[in-house]
Amino acid sequence: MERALRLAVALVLAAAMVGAAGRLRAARQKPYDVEVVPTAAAVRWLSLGHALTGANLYWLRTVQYIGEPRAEERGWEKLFPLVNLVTDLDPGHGYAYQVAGIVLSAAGRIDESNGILEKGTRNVKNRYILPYLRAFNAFYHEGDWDTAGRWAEIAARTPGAPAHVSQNVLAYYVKGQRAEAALEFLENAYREAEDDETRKTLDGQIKQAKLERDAGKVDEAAKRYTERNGRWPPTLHTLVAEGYIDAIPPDPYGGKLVLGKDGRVTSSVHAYRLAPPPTASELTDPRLGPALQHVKPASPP
Amino acid sequence: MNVLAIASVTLREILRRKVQVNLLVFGTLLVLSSYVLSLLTLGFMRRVLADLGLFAMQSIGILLATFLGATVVAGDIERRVLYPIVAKPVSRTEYLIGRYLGLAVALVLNLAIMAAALAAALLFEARSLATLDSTFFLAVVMQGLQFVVVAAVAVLFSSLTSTTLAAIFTLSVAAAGMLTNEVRNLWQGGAQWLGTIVFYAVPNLGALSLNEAVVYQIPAPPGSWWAAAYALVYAAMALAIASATFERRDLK
Repeated sequence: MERALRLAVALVLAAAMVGAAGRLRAARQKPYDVEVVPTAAAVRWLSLGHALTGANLYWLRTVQYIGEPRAEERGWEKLFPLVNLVTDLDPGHGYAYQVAGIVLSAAGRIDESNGILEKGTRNVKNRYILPYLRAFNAFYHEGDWDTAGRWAEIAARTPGAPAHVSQNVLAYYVKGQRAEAALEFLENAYREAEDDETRKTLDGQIKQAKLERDAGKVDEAAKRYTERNGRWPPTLHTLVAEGYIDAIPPDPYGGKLVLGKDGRVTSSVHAYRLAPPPTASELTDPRLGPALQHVKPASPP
Repeated sequence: MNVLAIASVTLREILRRKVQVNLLVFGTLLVLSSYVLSLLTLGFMRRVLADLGLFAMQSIGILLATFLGATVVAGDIERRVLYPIVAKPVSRTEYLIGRYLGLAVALVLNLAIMAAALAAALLFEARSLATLDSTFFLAVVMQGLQFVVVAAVAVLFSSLTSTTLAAIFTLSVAAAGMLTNEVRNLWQGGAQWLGTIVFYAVPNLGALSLNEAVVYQIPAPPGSWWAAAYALVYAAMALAIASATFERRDLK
């Protein structure tokens, strides 16, 4: 009898504990975040000199941070400090630079992506993908073909770099085909990825690059139509019917391409389009100049 | 002969102790749980598995060396089992070395079991024998040397003071030994000589760690043999000091 009573008390307390735990902040499905990122020196001391173990434990936290399904809602403010810490503790952690460079770039944090990729290129001498991704950021996000060419050259000189790296970069550098070059870069980065989370990020970027490439061709056709007829085409089928394009390209996002309100072609299920890199005339425009001081012209010399 | 007999008794005594069995089981589980943690990473799983596994082995091994080493002499004095031994034709140095050798063999056996668990986890992850390269085995040997050094320090303190204080002092020295390189790098400027004294007085356990070489599957640094020789000399020196002080200690 007494034993049953004790068991009942234990069960009631267990139920109360579960109820209280459910009300904790962590249990309410808050997106995974890292409140404080310590300095590398602090981790070295606290781990009693085990810098590599400290790097691995913080790398596991970084992986949880990247893999959080509601990352967009939370933001990416802590990714750069986390990976900077991991790579301060273990400068040879090549994959940390690679993953962070890709995710930061996809999140639009280009300066941070560039910073971590440049640090990786300095510290890891046999991973060509790091300067390769830095080149991608330069031409795709910043429209800076000169810088892209320099980083692509570093990538091509890195031991183990495939032969096509320098050829492709040179070819696109001369032609200035930004979307085509982006696809080539991204598909190569996809092949080099070692995990599904990074592949997922790259897959999103590949779809965006395909949309930019295909929609860009339709944009050009719509522009020619407008110049000739003095008005926007009523639908994209008009462009096909009047011979401006052979067919409307398929939408990489699974919807269909439509003419947006701003006159640019976009996907019916994914409205986002990258802003085109500024042209030389835009850079000299007094209204835009100050905002574009850090950007170089899109067209190759 | 006396030394081997005492070592044999010490080994059997240690292997029966609950703290030894509990720490060994915990350590082996910790090593195996490194595999579970490695599943959480992106990309190269081996780096997390090998590093956390070696870290778990090192932590448990140092705790074993500390707690077992702190009791081998001081425990005998507290339980008054030392008196009938020193009454026999056995020198105190023989007794001390016998106790130390028994402890060292017990630590090596514990290390072998944990290393076997880590090797199994690495093989399971890689599905290839190539994962167990010579650097891995060398790293295990170097960990064994770390334990041997910490055990010698523990025996030194155990011959000087009580078990509790010996355990506290040994753990402090082991923690400082892992930070030796950090201290020397940080301690620059006016009192640099103080950092230099700490560097030479405290065992440099960081120099005996090959975790990075195991993780990146690269050959061990060329200075590893010097580090191994340093560890053996340091342990011998600690035992020599222990012997000199224990011979003169009044046991009444």
